[in-house]
Amino acid sequence: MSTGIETWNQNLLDIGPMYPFAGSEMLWFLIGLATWILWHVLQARMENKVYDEEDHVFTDKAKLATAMEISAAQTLVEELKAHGANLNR
Amino acid sequence: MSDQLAALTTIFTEVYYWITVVFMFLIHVGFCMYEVGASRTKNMMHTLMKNTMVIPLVTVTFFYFGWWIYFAWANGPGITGGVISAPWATPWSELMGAHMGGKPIQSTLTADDTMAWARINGVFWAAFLLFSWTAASIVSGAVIERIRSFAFWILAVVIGSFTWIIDAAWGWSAGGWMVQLLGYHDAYASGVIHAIAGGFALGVLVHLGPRIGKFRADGTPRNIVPHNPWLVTIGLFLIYTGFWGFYVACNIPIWDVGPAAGMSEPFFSTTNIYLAPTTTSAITLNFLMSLSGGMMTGYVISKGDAYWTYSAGLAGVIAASAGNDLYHPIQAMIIAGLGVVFMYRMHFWVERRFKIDDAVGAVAVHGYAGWFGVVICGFVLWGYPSSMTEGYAHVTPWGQFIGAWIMFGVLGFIPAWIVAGILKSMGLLRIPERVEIAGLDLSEFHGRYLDEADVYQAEKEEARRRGLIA
Repeated sequence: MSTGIETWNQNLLDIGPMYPFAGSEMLWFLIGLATWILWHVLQARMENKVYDEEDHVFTDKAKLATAMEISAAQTLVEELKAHGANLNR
Repeated sequence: MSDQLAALTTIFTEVYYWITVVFMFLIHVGFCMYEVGASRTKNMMHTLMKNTMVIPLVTVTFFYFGWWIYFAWANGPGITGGVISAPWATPWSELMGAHMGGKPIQSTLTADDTMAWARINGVFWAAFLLFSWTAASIVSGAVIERIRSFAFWILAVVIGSFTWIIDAAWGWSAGGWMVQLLGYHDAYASGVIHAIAGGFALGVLVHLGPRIGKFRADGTPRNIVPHNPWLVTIGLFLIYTGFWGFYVACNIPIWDVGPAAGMSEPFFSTTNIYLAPTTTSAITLNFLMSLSGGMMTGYVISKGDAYWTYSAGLAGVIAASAGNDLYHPIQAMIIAGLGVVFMYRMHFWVERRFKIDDAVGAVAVHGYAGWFGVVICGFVLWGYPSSMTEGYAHVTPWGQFIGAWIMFGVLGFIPAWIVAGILKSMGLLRIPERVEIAGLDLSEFHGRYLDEADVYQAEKEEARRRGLIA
């Protein structure tokens, strides 16, 4: 049994496609196309879910204000302070 | 292949395009670094991943339909003819895979097709693909810090695997209808990559709107400072480096132009994409001189601003690219300088007049400079033949002017404006405002905070246990 080429001991000028299952290209194309579309669908669902959740969390104005402080922090210590950590303990 | 000279020519060409692909990969690396550097720390990872995923998404779609469009739609279709048969470029073609060039198994292909394309198809496809990444990546920088990744990736596929390759079929192929009827000449893609991508970015920005805080209440813009200027400048240096690959990828390294010229003997030369003769020396001279003209002008006009000086180097090359196969180097330098003045003035005028927040100046550097480059080429190369084919229109200012608007407007701005408008109407274009304000890397940021805070407290306790601190 062979999925493609069985020997190199032949006239190489006669060799065309070298990949396995030659002749099934349309099937592979359809699988590839479906994979691409599916990827976008899954990614959109994932992204929308994350943003919906985060958006909901930040309806709490205090949490949004804290998040802004954290985002603006340039160092770990600034981040910790923004989170209200006691650095002296 | 049994003829050694034919084998040498073919395999040299195969390796030649492969090397251009490696060089052009640096363009994408540079764009990623540039964008991440230009973003604020709260948005870095989102910015990085948005542009990184252009690579797989544009690659697979360019395999599925982009490559076929290039060959099949050169006539419009419907302008100078119908859809052209291109059986080597369909995604189900046996020539879109490993092939030794022997007898085809698919009835749509001939032995001549397999002999001609078996070793070149993949590397030629890849060279065009890297242009596709570049087109999408140009748009990516303009829209940072507020676009949803889903929306951007749909838009990236639209320009990377659809609209830009239509313009290449029309105006960047030996038989394209714009070349035939308009005498369109754009050897190193002022219009076919840069003007279209700039116009596309502008079409998206109109719907997307500015970042929160970009404009004051009186309408004047604030400068949102890059969080890492070194990353920005190294990114731009890498784009310069990749641009070398881009330039030589626009050429065919060895081609017998004798028959097309009516000669009785072969005449082997490097050619541009229109199969008209040029030399690699010519484009090397002009690349460096236009880069220099752009940087010198950018430095003066921006009063030594690093960001605009680097960007002006790119804009200078872009402004001269349409005719850089034929210009004199000093002409290329002067055209580059003029293009930089045009794009710089346009950027700030559009920003203030229309409240357009182009985060990295992509519309200016690529769109306005590219448009300018196509138009000025019509004056400087006025009367030159647009290809080797007798009967095709010659280069003219009006042909180039129409061509520049087809690139920037018809295939750039309008499709982007339509698709971005649809995404906006579905609520899928822009990040929710609370999340934008908090920062797009919130999840990563919180994870990092928790880990770092944990490590920080552990270090502190350990230091106390060892008596190093009180």
